[in-house]
Amino acid sequence: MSLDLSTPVLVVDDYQTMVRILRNLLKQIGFNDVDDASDGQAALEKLRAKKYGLVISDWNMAPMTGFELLQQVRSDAELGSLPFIMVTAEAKTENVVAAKKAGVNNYIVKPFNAETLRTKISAVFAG
Amino acid sequence: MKLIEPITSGATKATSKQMEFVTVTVAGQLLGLPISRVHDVFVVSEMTTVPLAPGEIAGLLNLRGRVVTAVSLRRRLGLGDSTGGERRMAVGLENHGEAYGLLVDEVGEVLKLDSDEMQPNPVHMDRGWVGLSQGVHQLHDKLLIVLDVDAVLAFGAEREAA
Repeated sequence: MSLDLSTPVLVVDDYQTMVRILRNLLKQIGFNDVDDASDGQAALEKLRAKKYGLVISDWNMAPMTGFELLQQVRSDAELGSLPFIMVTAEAKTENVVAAKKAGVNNYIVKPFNAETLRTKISAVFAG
Repeated sequence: MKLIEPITSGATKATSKQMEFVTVTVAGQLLGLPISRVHDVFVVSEMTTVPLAPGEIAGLLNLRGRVVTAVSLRRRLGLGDSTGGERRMAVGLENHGEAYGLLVDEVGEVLKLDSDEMQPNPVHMDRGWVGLSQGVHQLHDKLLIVLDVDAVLAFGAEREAA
């Protein structure tokens, strides 16, 4: 699987300022088809309505967390193999382990920069 | 400076270039950082003070081996430290390959504004602020000062030149 910048990306975060920052970073990397959702449920609806190639989701959201969204995606017959990157403010080992067990493709701990984002995305598509 | 093209699907003015700004508040003043310079917004938990560092440097954040310099925007603007004990918010920036966390009182929304509506700094603006500002946007009920990120993070160079 190679990195294709025309791949539609879905950014999921309930903090609109962070959504806008992430969208801008993705645009700087070269992605030109970026949508966003403000919670896990809204994300699932978008994922079922359009074929995305990558999800970048915050962990801490309500009512559905990013972790719960990941579990929903992985248990969905249509979405199960969708590349999924989790963004979190906490680097708790148990969270990282839980996310990996749940099938996350990569994990970004805040604060991060454009290069980190680029590297993490590239690693997903290289692996 | 590279102008940010609209990236949302909403309707935008076709004739005017627009820029997005991440807004922050310091001592009640609204300030804007070009979104093209902002990488992240985060809560500062632990910070190590740096002996003999310029006053604007609030400390160092060691985040999993990556050192981020925490810069107090309050001090950079010549204001006193906040007396509140609320959580410290920071905006992640980079300059010349160095990572910075700009400490602010609050982080607000992202505003998309017409470039040609930015005005020069008001004549009565504090001299210390003029060098850090690219100009201002008059919003409905307040003034947005557009920060020059390079200037804000150039406090070391200022001392060398002094």
